[in-house]
Amino acid sequence: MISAERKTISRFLISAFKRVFGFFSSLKTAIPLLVITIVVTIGGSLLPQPDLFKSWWYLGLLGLNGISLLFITILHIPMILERKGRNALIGVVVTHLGILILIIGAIYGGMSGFRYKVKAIEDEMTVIPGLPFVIHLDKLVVEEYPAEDVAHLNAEIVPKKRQESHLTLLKNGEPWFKAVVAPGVPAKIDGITMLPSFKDIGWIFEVIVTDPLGKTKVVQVKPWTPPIIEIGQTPVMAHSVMGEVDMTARIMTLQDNQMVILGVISQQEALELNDHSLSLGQVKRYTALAIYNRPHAPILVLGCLAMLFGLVWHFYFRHRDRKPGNRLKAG
Amino acid sequence: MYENLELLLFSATLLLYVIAWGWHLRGWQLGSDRQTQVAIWILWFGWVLHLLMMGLRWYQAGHIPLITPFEFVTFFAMLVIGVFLLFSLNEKNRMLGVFLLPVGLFLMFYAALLPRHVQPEFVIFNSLLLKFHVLTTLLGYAAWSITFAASVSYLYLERKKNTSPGLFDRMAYRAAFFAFCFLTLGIITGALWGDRVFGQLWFWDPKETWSFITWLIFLAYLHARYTLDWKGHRAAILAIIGFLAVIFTYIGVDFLLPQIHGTQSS
Repeated sequence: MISAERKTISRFLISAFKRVFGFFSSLKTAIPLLVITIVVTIGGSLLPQPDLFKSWWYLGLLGLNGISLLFITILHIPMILERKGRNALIGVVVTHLGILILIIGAIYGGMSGFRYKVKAIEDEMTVIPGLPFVIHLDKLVVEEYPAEDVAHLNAEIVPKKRQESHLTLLKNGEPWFKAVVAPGVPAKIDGITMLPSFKDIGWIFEVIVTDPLGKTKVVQVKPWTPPIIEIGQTPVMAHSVMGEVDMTARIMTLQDNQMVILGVISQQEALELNDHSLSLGQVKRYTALAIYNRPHAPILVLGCLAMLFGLVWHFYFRHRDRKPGNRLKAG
Repeated sequence: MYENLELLLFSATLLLYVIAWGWHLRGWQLGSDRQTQVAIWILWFGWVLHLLMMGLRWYQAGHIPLITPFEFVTFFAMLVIGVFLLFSLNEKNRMLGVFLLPVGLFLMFYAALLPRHVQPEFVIFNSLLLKFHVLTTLLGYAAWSITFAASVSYLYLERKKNTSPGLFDRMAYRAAFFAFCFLTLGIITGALWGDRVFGQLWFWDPKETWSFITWLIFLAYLHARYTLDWKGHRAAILAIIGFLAVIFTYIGVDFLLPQIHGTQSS
């Protein structure tokens, strides 16, 4: 009785698998899936929605394409063994396998590894929980392009002529590894990559506030979290206008929903406000640093190589061995 | 001085291309091989000037001129015309010029509207991988331009009696294969360069997204031909859609969608 039930379930499962396999290995499924993917991707790019391409249903659509690709690849393998002119078919299968490896690599990449984006400040330690080392940014060497060379460009996206971050990695408080990194020149140690941003680079600085009683307070201003400083009854914010020539910061306040500049401070010139004196303290550079581990990179490279190799292989043999009756008809 | 010489070479090239196309068109209408041959010679002359202009720009900039939009577009035009000149060595292929030369001309006129300033090569762009990315992508687009022109030629000839448009159908298919391979290489090398500079392989930036869409259309074309046995008319229509995607990816995205690509652009 139990055996008969098992047989029925097995038969049902085999039949269901055959149907699913038949459905996904058919070009009547593969081509519409491809067309739907194209249409959805076009829609997604023209009507931008946050994280559309990371949504479960878009990734699911790519996944269905992957399943279809896998089943079509499996379907082709017996043809390779049977047919004449199978060299060209080997190319097709290798290309499809390459794309599959890419999809698997992308999925694995989404589930493994880590990625942090931190701000490293000159002469300060950056601690990232879970990393086996602490990062110390020894110095940041920056050189700008001459203004006339980049005048026609959007200032926000102009890279620096030279942008070197000199890092020391410390383990147990002892220097362990030294590296000089720059945008496009990352450092890799123990599978962990460190890469500075070419855009997110700037200055942090101190505002020294002296009250009417002569008491001083030092406020550190980081551009990504600018503090509000109470000067008497006036809340102010400071904004750096640092550069090789101009080492100053603007002191601003909000009036009628608009930022109004109250004055400029430097290390030489103080600003008097509500009986308080504001001056510029220490100035340091910072850079954003991406710290990541990507174990799936070799899988992606393998997938790319397989895909390209398969394409070239296929094209070469298809045109060398082409004979009537050897054309592939799948699905 | 170099700027003026460059402008002179650019203008002369454009003028010669226009004359060559007109001559080619006339030769084709009259069925005169002699006129078509003259058009090809004019085109060769224009192309050599084009090459000189790119060489001058290389010398002037001190780096391969594949940095600014003007350089991309003129280089793309040079590839399109160059590929046609290669094809035209075989007289049977020459009709392709009727529809392919306007693509080159369109690119040249578009380049004429772009700022021509020479720009220093930013350190992060000083990468062999990036140059390979630009070159392979443009080769892919140039190859698809052949597919497009061959497909339009096919559609034209198919309506005429006593013609055999099959040659153009096969040409479109073969060029599509090269286009697909080069675009694949272009996307992969672009992703690898992005990874090295930005620490990320893929951003879903509009340019990337549209390259992916174009790649999918190329893929659909090849599959439609290879497995669904699409030939002739239907395949030609799909090839034209693919070409529209190339133009949108290459030019339309720059105007319509914000992106991180074109960091060098003005």
